[in-house]
Amino acid sequence: MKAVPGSGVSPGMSDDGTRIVNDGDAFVNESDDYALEQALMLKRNVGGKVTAITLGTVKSQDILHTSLAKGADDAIRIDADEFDPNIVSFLLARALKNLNADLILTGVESADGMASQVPMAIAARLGMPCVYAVTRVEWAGEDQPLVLTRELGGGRSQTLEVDKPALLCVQAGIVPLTYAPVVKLIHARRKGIPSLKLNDLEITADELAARRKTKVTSVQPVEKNSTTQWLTGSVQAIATQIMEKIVEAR
Amino acid sequence: MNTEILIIAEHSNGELDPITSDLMAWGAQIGAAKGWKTGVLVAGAGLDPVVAALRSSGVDALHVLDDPALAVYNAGTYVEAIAALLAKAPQRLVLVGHTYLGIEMSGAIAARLDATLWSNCRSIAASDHGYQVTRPISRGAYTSALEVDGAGLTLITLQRGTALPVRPSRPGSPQIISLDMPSGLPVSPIRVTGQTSAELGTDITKADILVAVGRGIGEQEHLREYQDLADILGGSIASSRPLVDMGWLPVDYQVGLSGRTVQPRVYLACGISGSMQHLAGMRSSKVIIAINEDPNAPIFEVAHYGIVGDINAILPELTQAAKLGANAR
Repeated sequence: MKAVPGSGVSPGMSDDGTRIVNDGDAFVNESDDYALEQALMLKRNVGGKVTAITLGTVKSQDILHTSLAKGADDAIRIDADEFDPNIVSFLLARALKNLNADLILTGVESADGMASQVPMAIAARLGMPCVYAVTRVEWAGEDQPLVLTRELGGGRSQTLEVDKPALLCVQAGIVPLTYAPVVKLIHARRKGIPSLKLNDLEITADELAARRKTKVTSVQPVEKNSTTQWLTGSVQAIATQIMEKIVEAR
Repeated sequence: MNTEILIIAEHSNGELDPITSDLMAWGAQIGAAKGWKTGVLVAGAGLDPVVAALRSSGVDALHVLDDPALAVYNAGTYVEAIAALLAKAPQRLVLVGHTYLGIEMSGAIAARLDATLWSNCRSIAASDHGYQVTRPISRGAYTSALEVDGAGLTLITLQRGTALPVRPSRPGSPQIISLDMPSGLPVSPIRVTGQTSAELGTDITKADILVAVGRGIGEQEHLREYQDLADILGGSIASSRPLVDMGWLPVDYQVGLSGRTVQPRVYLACGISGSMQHLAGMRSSKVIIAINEDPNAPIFEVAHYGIVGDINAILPELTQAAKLGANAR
């Protein structure tokens, strides 16, 4: 799961150009919320234990508290401040290797980085299959393969059988979202969340530095399309103008 | 595969996906700047029509991996095969479309080869030590520019509709190289048990006018009025993802990365804010008219004509004006 800044927060660059930084509170990435819900649903249906994991500064801890309040059994934070998905996937894969999970669930995209590459890289590093844009998960039981429906894009879809362990990137809307009861949230916030540092993952600072291949050179608001012609006036006047444009374009 | 730049072609049902020509245009530009050769990798089964479409593409080489094992897309098989080919003949730069298949394969291939990957890019240019790429961040409201060290293998995925304004023309026939399926690949832990294309239902890609509806229309009951407008205009209704997720419209109507890519003469976006995924499916429309309450909605970045207001207030007048227009014709 990833903690992301709220919408409307202006991103900036770190002084050394190694990161994109955001001020303000962090919220759960909506896409990952579906992954948690799907995990909790599988737990209700077939049993098992759900662990919520994130990589981020202490600010990101709150999404783990919420995950615990919603029903996750454990939570782990990798204490790192990274924006490069190449680095993030390397660190997460190392942490996940020790967890030996049967099933890893993620969302399809983060609202801040928008890369959609971390899950596939984690699965490849762990040598497990990865399926992107999953819209349905069925799991009959411990010794059964996963039965999935996934989107291929362009309106096409596939049904699959996948052996565990596997990583699934679930599509938004796969299961309904639930909300953590306030009492459970208050209780969860009192729990300490274990955090793993680089040396817990047996990664040296030099090893990580050698993997840094990217510098941020600028961060800018998207330029508004200055060629957009604004149609204004009364509702009737607007409707007439829209029709004129439609007729012209035919 | 003795080229420095490799483009992974995307195709379905024997037809080349247009994103492949965008990738070739970007590849040609980098190739010209770096003095590198460009190749295209086509993987699949029964590839003759796709290869034929690429014969005059102006790339230096066409690597064809035509094997029955690749008849149906299976990430397990595709990733293993392509990673094995790349490991044998290292490239410098691999360009992939930022599509669902491109996303799934590039992330896995890059990690397998310990290469650097930047996905969802809008542009790539050659720089002294590698590449300069631009890509969206923060829900698409900001653009980041990155300098990527190109010493090792680099993979880049590029969005749809990001082609260069001028396509470098390099006439000539590519050398066609048939590749053998790498041997000893592990059996894929993924088994494809069925595949559907949404082609049986409504085909919104054929409509000249699309009345596209989004969350801004408010209530499901309003849909009927938009359908009426589409009928009067002689077009079709289309939809953003949330409405399909809520079950208001079937997936055939969905425009965007996971739905259809459309380019009608007129795209009338009603109450659609314009997520990246949605814009990817409609930004090539000839004329885009967008109506939204939020003047900062990303849909206005691609709109030719913009109206800031409540679509449900404008709709009755618009339907009336369309009726008058239809009667006058």
